[in-house]
Amino acid sequence: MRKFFASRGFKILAITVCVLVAVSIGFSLFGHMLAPQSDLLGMVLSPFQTIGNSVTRSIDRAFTAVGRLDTIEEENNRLREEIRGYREQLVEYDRYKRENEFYKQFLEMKEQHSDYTFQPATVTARDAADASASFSIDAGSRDGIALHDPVITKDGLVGYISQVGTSVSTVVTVIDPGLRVGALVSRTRESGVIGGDASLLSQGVCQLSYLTSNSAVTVGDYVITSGDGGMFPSGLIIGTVTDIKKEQSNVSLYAVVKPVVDVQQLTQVMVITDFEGQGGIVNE
Amino acid sequence: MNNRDLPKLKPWLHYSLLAVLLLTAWSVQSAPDGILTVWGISPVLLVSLIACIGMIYGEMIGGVFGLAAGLLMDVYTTPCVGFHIVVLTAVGIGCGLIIRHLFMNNLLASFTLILGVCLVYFVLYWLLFKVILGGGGGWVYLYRFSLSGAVYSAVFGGLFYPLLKWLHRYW
Repeated sequence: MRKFFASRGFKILAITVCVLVAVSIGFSLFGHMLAPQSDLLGMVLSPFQTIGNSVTRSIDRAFTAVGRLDTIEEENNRLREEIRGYREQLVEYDRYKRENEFYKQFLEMKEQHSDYTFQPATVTARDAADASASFSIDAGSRDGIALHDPVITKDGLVGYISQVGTSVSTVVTVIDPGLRVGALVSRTRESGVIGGDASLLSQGVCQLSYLTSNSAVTVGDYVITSGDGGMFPSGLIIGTVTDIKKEQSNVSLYAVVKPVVDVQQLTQVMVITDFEGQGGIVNE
Repeated sequence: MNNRDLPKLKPWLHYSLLAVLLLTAWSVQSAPDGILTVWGISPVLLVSLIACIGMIYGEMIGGVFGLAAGLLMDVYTTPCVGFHIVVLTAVGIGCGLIIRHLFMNNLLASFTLILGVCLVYFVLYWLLFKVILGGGGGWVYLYRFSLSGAVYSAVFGGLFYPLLKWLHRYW
């Protein structure tokens, strides 16, 4: 063992690791940026990741199909001949349709919020070790994205940009236990703080804390961003209240909020790179 | 280098195969669809893969592949502080050394080691990202996601080990 630790190979490996870690810490903790080596790898591997994703999606679909084998076999026999000639065209058509729908929604949002500047992006990867559904997108500083920019879909809020690279960025979602953002109940205008909770992560929900004990909030109420702190624009829909519970202290209440966006199943998002009132941040 | 470290196929071709396996595992584990996600728990395939590479190919190859895997994983980790570079390089080197000096290199011993390595990895991840760097989650996150994630990841070691053993012996 001593021989290995004294070897030239180990010394080179140890020095490489130390240099890379020092660079990563420097860039990430002090600059909130991806380290150059990760940035470069992200740029190089992004196209491969996209190809890999289509392959895994096909495999996923194939596995799902196995569960419905009887119906599919019957249907397949009936349609096989008919479909063969059109298969490739259909795949292309589906892709264009999805893209069209996405850009149509994107345009509608642009019309509704003239002060927003959007950057569309595709979800490229997830951190497997992180259960709070944080993910990476294929857009970065070269597309005008900056740290803490809000990330949305046409349905509502997804999260915010937590780290920026040249062509890759990472997004922290609304169900992340580390997120704390000012929010309002749309009907009653009661304010609270929205954020994730580890005990709620598996259900894909978050909680609106610090509601008063005589709160008028009821199940089904919409929760929206308050705009306080300038991190998110006001009025973005976060989710709907599904339950109201007492805080451990018994002094206040909290509402369980189901996000309108299923953050586990996202494929495309929009980043708001500029909006009226953009300014400070609430938490970092 | 002893015989254990010498593959039968031309080394560059053999290690290219390992690199392809590494990239495939990375691509599958970070796919946005979460193809392997069960009840919100995803496996980190690269931890068990690097542990297997370290055990079968020795500490040096394990360390080098661990470094490569760490670089890949850090691209999608936030904040990117080089955690995976350190941990996966240590896993590759550590598993190689443990198998050489302490354990027998068989399926049971290797699975025990992979499970231990996965537990250490997930606990360190939780400690750094959820406790020290303020990601939130507390103890609930540890037992609900980290420990089950470690066991789920270790299961894949049972697939990687025989595959790499076969690759190492016959290729």
